[in-house]
Amino acid sequence: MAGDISRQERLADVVAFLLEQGGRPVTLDRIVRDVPGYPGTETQAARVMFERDKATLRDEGIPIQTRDDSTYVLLEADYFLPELDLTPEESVALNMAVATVRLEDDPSGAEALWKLGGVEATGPSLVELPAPAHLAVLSEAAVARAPATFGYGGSTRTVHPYGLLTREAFWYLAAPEQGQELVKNFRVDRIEGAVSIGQPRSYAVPDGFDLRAALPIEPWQLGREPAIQARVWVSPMRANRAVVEAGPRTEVEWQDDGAAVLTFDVTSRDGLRSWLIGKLEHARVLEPPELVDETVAWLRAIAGAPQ
Amino acid sequence: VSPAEAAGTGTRRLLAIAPWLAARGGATIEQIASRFGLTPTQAEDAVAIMGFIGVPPYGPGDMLQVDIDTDGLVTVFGPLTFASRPPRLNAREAFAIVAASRAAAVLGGDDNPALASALAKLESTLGSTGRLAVDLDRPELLDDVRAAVRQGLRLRIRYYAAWRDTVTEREIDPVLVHSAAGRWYVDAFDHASGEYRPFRLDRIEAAEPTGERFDRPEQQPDALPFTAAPGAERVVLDLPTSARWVTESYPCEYEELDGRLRVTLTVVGSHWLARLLLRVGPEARVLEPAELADVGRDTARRVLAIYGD
Repeated sequence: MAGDISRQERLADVVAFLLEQGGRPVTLDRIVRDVPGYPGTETQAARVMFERDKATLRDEGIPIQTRDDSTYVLLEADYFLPELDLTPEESVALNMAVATVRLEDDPSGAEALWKLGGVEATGPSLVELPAPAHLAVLSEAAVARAPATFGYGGSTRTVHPYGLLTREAFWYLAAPEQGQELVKNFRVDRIEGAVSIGQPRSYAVPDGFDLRAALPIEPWQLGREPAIQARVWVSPMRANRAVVEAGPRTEVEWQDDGAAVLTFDVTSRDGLRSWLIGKLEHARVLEPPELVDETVAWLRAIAGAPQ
Repeated sequence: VSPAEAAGTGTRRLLAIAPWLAARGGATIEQIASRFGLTPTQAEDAVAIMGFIGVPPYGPGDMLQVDIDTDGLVTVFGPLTFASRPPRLNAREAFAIVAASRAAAVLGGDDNPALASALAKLESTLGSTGRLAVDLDRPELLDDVRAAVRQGLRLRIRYYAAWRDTVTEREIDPVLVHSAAGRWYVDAFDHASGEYRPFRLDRIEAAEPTGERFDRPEQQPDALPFTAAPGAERVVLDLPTSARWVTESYPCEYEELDGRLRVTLTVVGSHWLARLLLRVGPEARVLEPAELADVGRDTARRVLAIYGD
């Protein structure tokens, strides 16, 4: 613990020292001589120590710049929180939001309130959002418009992050791969290894790009197959829930007995089958014949499969 | 927590607490602890270190002046630039507060203009406008059930039991509504079973107040974990690797054996298992227990009947 305390103190002292320079860059020699906790002379050990501190502060959102002449500067504009001019009502609303919605195992929302002001309301939270690794760095990349490189599905991808969307249990990164136009959705929890970030302002996000529209909600649209129109009957017992799942783009005909017939475009036959078959005898595909045949063939393969 | 993270957290605290104390004119250790979500010891440690922060030549006028008076009031004043205002949000904080606010905005609908304007200011300052979206399902009954929790109203519900594929009618005393991983739950005393248990909100088909009231618990309860219903059974499945989504979607243990997946999970009754097997397809096998080996085949035959097969 003693080691931690002296490091915290040194980090805070470095910040206080650099800010006190009023924007004038200083040499490493001065830093290690003047700030307590460093060796006092510019040795290799001191250099390593300062680089490590600089990286920790960078993670804290405190960017110490390195100038060409090996001097260092921390600008007030980079350090201080810009004035948000929150009204008391807005401050309360943010506090309520953080109290209501938590990221799984991550206190960062409450810590943001340390800086933004107000006191977090207590009590159990209403909503817990999943929080896989890499969310903060990917969001930083999307904001800075910096390419992100990571492993996915066994290969290395470099993408241009457009934004992040959470739906159900997952976060999705909407991003075209470098040199391509098609926006793909990467499941953040499936990213393999570390994420590295390239130069800021490397690309533009098209005007009017809509994160939600980029990730269709209906399971039968989670693919890029040529669209075919399907009609599906759902029993009275499951009709209400199926209509909600089918989303607003689905056409619904209600039948007298409470059953529903849904009409929609399919671009993922796998997605349709999984949804349809999960409803067992409560859902039946009516048209087109090729989808009926496929479904029956799938079921027959299971019905006749050796056990 | 790694030493680097611990030092980062400690430094983050110091740099946030000092300007807050300086602006406020003073606070007790308890107030600092409550404002920053710390234990009193952590707050004391932070205050102790704060008194050592300064700039060369570290004379009395170059240090942050930290005083604790006889009433335990901590005051901070001093000439240092860093203590004049709070620092920027780091990437995690920025992400977390925007995500929380976006989710809360979905929940609150359009009737929270203060949150909408706070979010607009925040996103424009962070440059993150349009970069983050939260799609939160908002079940139709959410508002009714939340009102019942607030007012202590007993509800009569029609509840779909997935493990038996039946709809039951029961009376519940709802005490807490919460959402995890995209699903909504209401924790309630269930008069049918005589115990507290969570119910999935999307499986409640109808909810009506009975007219009776119940006494709300004195203390806000913690959310109950949604676990398998009574009669849960361990099953072992042999699945093709194309069914890897099963391991990501449900709590289970699994290993890869000769290019196949060996998945062990807990299921209640055969209905849910049958749906899973039909979705995976003809390559799925039930290894254990033996009496469930045919459940996929039998269910597929039953479903084929609606196609006249």
